[in-house]
Amino acid sequence: MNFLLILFLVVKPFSFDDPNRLPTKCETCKYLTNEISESLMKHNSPELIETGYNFDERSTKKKAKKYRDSEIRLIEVMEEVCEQILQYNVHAERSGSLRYSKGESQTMGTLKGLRDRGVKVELGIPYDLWDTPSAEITQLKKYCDQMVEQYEEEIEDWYKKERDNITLTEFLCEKRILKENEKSCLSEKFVENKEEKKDKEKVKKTKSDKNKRDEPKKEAKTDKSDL
Amino acid sequence: MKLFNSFLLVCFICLTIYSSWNGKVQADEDIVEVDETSAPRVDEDLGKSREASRTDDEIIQREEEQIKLDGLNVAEMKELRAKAQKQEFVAEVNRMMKLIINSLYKNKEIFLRELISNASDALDKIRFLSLTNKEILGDKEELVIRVKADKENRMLHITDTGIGMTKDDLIKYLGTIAKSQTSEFLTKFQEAQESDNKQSMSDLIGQFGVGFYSAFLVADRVIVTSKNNDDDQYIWESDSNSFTVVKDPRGNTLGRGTTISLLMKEEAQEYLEEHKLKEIISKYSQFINFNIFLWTSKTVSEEVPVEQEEKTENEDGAVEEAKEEVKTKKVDKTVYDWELMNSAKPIWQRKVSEVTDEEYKEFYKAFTKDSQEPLVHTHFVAEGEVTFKSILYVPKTAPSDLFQNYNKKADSIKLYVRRVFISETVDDLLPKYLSFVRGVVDSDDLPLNVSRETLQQNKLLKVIKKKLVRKILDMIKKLSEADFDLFHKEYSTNIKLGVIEDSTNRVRLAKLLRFGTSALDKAKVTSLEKYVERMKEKQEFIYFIAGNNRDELEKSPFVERLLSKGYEVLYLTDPIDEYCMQSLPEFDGKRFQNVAKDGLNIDKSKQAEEKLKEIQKSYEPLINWMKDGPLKDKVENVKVSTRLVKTPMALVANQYGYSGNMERITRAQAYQKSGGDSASQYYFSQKKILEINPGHPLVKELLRRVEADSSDAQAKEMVELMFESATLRSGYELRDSTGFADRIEHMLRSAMNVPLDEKVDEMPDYEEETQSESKQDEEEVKADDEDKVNSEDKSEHTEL
Repeated sequence: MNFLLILFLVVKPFSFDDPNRLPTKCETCKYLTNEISESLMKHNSPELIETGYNFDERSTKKKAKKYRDSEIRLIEVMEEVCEQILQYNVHAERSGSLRYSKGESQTMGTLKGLRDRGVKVELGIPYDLWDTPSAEITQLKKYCDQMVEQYEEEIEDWYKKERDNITLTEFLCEKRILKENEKSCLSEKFVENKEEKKDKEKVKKTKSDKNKRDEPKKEAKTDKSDL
Repeated sequence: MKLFNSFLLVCFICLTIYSSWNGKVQADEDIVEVDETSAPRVDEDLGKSREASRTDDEIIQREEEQIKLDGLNVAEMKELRAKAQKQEFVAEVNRMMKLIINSLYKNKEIFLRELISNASDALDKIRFLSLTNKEILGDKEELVIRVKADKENRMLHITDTGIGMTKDDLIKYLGTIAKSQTSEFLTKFQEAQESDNKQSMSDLIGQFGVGFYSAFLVADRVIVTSKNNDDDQYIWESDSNSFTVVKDPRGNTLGRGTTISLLMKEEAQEYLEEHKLKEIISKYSQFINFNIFLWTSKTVSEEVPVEQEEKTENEDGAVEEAKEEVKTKKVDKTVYDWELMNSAKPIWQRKVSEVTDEEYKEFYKAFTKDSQEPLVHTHFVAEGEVTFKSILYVPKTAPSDLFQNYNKKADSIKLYVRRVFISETVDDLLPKYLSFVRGVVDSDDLPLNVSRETLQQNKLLKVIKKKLVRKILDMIKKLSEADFDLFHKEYSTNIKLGVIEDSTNRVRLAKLLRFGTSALDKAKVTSLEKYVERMKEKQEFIYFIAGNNRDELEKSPFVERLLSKGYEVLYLTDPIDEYCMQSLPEFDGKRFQNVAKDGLNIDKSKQAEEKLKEIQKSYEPLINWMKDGPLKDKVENVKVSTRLVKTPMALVANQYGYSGNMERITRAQAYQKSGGDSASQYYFSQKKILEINPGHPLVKELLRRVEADSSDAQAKEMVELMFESATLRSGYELRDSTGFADRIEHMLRSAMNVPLDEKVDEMPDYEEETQSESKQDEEEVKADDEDKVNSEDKSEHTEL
């Protein structure tokens, strides 16, 4: 069982999609806005934020604001939204914007399965770096940070005025950030295709499936601050 | 306030030790005293000066006569004392006072600060209560603090019209320290309130009854007269050993509030001097929200009519004198009056237009204890969900321990809630990289909840933090060029740390970055904005290179061609620079390119690309020979370079790998796992790409030789050497320095026509002549060893 499995990293698995390409604006916006919307759903405590504890002659009434409508809610969402991006992985077997998705790619899953069963899997990187975000994902996060900073006011506008009328993706990506020819990724929806399904089943059945195609190159992520 | 906090802490620790380790109390005490060997040792009769400890009965008598409260004569005082019930302090209080006097309060004058802030608390409480019940103020509507020195009787009185204490309060709060009146007060207030308020209001500022004991630093006796609305007026009196509480025979003279009267120690009489009191009050208590009055004397000259008797004595001249007007003479008269000590409103509460620059500077110096003027300040009111007022300063020079203390709690921003000082160690008010900013924040919107833990969790702080950071960055951005230079000198590392740590303000911070550049003189720096302005028409990337110093970088092989083609290259010479760049994906739509890394593509014209392809083809034999032969396993790839001019070869890192500079810095990290963590190990082990300069004669010669004879030994040695010197030039460490040195020696021998096998002369060993035979043996062994080393080196190479 203990045989050495050497993975030859395929440099160009797809002719139409460079595996080491950088995330596009459209992809950044798509996942950023998705994450904001999801995070807003999680941050929905019914509590009241109380302010204006006045000692003085002025009003003795306390101001109270619903957390759900407060600036604090948005600040809390925004401060972690791009961190969420780091949970994404590159699924190089999928096309377009769908290559970015949460959860581990099936190839990675297979490899881990093998490793856990005692197979020596050589990816060229130490085991404990397998789960650190790849360079492409950290790049996606940096673009996310940048977009958040740049379009902060627009996002605030949407949150304060439009959030019940229009999705943020529409408000921000479609109407404000992206040009007409950049929007294609927004309509891409993930459908699990047959081939992938088959692959998955195969993995379940066979213990030593050696034919790993298309594992994206795991690039050294250098922005891990050692400071 | 800090002193006060640390004092509380020490108290708490000591008490904990005391209660749980009863047997060890002695040892604990010893520690305290050892720490303060310079301070006078205080015996059981603490609170008394050395002179006082020689007290005999007579002196006590004299002292008793000295103590004078308005409206009470000596006899009455005596009677009062006889009637009063003597009570011992709870043990903690005794211990605590010992601690105060021994170690913490070296600076005696703070007793006044403590008493005034206690008074301010008491006033805050009554004001707070009066919000819901106006009646509570009664006829004592004025909320003030009055300080009066009585030199004749060596007494100092501090009076407030605050909430006052009942008899029970006096015993409870001035006899124990476990419960502060403040926290008790709020518990009560909370109970009284309807429970519709979920906000927990645990305590008010200041722990009454703790700072209070600092009074014994300067006083032999302390008398507290207090009147609370719910009780009669009582007098509490103590000599620091025991205390008495008795109903005031004078009845209700205060109306409401508290007077603390100190019988000053012999040696503490300076605190009765007017100028001294003025100095202390303005130093510590100028921002107290209530008026503080000091009883001051003024000398005024007055015209006093001359007495009539003089005239009657001299009857002869009566007529003459009658002609004159009524005679007067000038008399110096001392007039006493209450003088307002803290006329200035807290400066941040005033309108920006009404505060002068001088006032800002003075305020800065007062609260930072910095002798220099600040570099810049900003004063603003933030509105929205949280309203707050703030003044922020950037000091001219960074504290010398800025980075030693980088991970410690910053105490740079003082937080007030409704003018009441809360804390200066609120963690979440500023990010670490801005910890050099000093200032105040005062908000009406935070709950009156000063327990530091709950404050940390307050969500409103996040809003405040966000706004503070924006304001600070804005303030820095608006600095004049000269001021910005000063700022940059002191705080450039902070900005770079900010780029790394604060993703939400990365673009704003990137605009504040400054680097050396090939376009400017050595001493000058450029902003990224300016770089982008200067960029060539078709230039896609912002080029930079990082290393030890500018001289080294200017000579680096990586910049050769870029510079000769007129591109601008940023020179990054701080260790943090390359980290910082890695956090920046792009600036103004332009991506960054580390010119020491793969991916540099200078000439994109079709012609150039075709030419390159041609060259690549012609060099294929050499490249393949290198990859499969001498450099097998040493490099990831060999490429024809487009970035080199003079240098024959250079080693470049993978786009995501470590550059030489990065390797050097990472190796030097003090805080790392022994042997490095797996991530850095991984990056270290990553192979580099060797780029060869197709125009260089040495490279051309190599190609010629390899094409002629692929087993050319000299070519192999040459490639190895060139690879090694390329490694060094590119800023990397040599893995096999001995092998490198051997190869150089080898080359030198051939260059100077010294036969390669010519032996080294042995140094005759005169002392050990008798062992000449064994020496011979040793030599042989040595030679063997050397061979071994060499072969080991070789095997290492192949492993690499």
